[in-house]
Amino acid sequence: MPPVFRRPWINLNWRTVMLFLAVLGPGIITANADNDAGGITTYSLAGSQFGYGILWTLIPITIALIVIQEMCARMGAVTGKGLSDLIRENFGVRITFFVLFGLLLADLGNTVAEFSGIAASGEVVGISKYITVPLGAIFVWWLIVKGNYKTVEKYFLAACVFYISYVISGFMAQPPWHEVLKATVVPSFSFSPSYLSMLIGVVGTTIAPWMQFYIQSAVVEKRIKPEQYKLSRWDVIVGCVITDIVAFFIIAACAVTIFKHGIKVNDARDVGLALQPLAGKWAADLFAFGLFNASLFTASILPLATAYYICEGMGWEAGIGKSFKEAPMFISLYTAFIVVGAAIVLIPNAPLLGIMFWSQVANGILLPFVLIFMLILVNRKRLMGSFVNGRTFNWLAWATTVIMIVLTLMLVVTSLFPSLLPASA
Amino acid sequence: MAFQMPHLPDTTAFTSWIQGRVICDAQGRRIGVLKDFLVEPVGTSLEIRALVLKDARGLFSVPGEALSGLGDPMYLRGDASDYAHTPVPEDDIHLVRDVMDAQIIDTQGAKVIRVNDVQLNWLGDRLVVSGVDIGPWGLARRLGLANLLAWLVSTFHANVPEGLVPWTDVVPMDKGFHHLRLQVASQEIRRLHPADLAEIVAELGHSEQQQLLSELSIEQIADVVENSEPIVQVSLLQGMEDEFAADVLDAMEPDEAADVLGEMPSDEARTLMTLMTPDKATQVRHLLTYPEDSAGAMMTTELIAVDERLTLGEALKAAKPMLSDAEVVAYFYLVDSEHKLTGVVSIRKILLSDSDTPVRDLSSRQLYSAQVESSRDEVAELVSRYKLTALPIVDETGRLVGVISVNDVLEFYEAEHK
Repeated sequence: MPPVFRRPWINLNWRTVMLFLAVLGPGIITANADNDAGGITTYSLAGSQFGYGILWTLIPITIALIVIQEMCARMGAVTGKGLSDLIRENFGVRITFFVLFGLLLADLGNTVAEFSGIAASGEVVGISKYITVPLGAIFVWWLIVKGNYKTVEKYFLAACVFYISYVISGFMAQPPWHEVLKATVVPSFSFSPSYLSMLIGVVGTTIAPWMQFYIQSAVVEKRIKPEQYKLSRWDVIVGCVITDIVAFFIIAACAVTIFKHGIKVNDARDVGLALQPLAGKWAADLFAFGLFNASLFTASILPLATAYYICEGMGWEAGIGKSFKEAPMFISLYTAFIVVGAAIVLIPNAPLLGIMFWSQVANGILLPFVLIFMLILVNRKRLMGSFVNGRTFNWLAWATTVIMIVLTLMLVVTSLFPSLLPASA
Repeated sequence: MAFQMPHLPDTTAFTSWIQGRVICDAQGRRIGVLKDFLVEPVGTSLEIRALVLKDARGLFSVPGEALSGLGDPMYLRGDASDYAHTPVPEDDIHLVRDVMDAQIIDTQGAKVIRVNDVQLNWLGDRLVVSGVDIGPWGLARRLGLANLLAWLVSTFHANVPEGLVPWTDVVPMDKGFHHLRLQVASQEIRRLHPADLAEIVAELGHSEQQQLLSELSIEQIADVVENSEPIVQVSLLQGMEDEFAADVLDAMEPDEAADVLGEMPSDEARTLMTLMTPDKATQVRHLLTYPEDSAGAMMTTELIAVDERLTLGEALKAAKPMLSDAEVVAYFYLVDSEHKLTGVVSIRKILLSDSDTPVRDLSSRQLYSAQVESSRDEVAELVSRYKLTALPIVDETGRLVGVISVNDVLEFYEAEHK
């Protein structure tokens, strides 16, 4: 064990702080990437349509998120390998291929969601999507292809800070705090079909398959070792809590304004526009800015990350600095994600809802597989040594997985056959 | 319309093809289904020692030499009753479990790749692993899409490369099970350039990294660390025992060692410095006192400095002990009795002159140098404007303290542009 980790709080010089920040990071960045356009839209709709009724789910969701992400971070620290690497080595190429194909479809849909988030945020403040989306796409491409590591990291850190705009909007909306806090800890439930589908939606958007891949790779890229893992675990926990604090403020702000006035909203743009007369122009602008930031942030990560996992798992050459000749699959995938993702948003009458819908289904079908593979891997002694799940934690992990699987299957089934939900209610 | 797979002679087969085939005895009675192979490194090759079969009672192994051919179904010599239900030793190397889908190092291409398929060949009466498939064909075979790929290729006249690498050019990295170590292949690894090795190391998981480094000498490890990115450098050193890490630092150029130590948490760096040889540690400690972007932090202290009063012959003799460690051998720097820089003699002059010429007479007319506090940009400017291979660095009193090579400058620019 490197000496510095024995008493980190005593020896807090600049380098230790730097090291702490070096270890802290993957969890927080993943958490922020998690609150992407899809997440923000879902949270704001949850607040707008059901008031404080969904708030209580945030605590169990946070626990589930911590349990799942912690396992990935641990696997990354112990093996030094990404999740797609581990799946390929332990389950063979066929399973890897199908998992990655599912991830490709799901993430293409997610990328479309990010660009439509950029479009929606522009429209709230009155800028056409034909300006914001191409500029966003060019920025994303430029950042990764032309920017160096330092610029990217600076931008990512700045983007993380901007999530605070939601907390500010939350306070500006002045919700009755005692009521909000009570709704957060006291569960309330409704068997109405729309409530159920919103509940599933909130869970589904918070725990998406690609994040498990992302956090594990981020831990590997940060070169975190098993010895440093204790610090890393705190990073995961802090990150997950931040994710849901942001969600909490979004839901509270929309509940106290849009829900209270009974305004009907269907997407993020509606929410932004509805906030203007209710909470003031500043709150609406902040909301739009937050959405823009979140969408752009995740749009920067998602295409690159997905191209990496696919190439990693299939054994294809990958790397930003590589030419098309050296890494044809990587460059093609990365470029296709940005171009297709942005283009779909811009094509008039493109089946945007249909694409989002199918990507949600792909996400939902993929998640059970990814979770089960993760649990098998994290419990393999010859892979993880003494870092396998403890008995209690394993129970918790399997329980979380089963609940997640049931919920996402419900999401998939109700997406495919919406008629089932009213019948069951 | 079925596309005919390219026909291979019966002496060779891909693992993906024959895996899952029915195995019969000489009378055609079914014994089981082929699941895996137990392999053993023999010299440069990997030999099939046994087949892992599965029947209704579970997995069992039969000796590899019983196999009489690679047809479908495959036949074993003798009678079904000859093959007792021998249990499969878990710890032996399993070809499918341990080699398929594993990372390998292609020593010819100097890169890390994944095994899509494994080619087997009869060598006399022994079945051996002859090569690994890292290309699209292997992938297609594994996915059961080989016919589709063949059809696409013939329809569109596409050029899809074979992607077969001979087993002798491959160093397998185990999937964390620590039993795939092959002594012969590791010689190939040692022949790779440190820059290639550094790139390979960065792509591997923790246990593979340790496996690879354990094949290298301290000097090679030092070279690999020098060629790695800062974040990898720190992680490599942190992964070693402190004494070993100190030995590696000793073997590195002092400026490089100082850079790595500068990136580490200060008490870890201090611990390592106490374990280094005192002489090296002093140099490194000195280098660490310079601000990060200064010439002092960039320079190395290992250079060739000779007394200006010597003749060339004497100077060459004096320089001999410095030659092995010096990063820059293109110039001999001349110093006076107070170690102040007074001149510079290029290697060309040294090679062309008589040994009794006083070195002072060989000194170049222009003498460029920078101060330890000079910025990196100033150094780069001097090096590029005067086309220098190296630039001597002096302290505030004019004493020669170090040298910056054009490589150091390039490295700095490369890091800036990454």
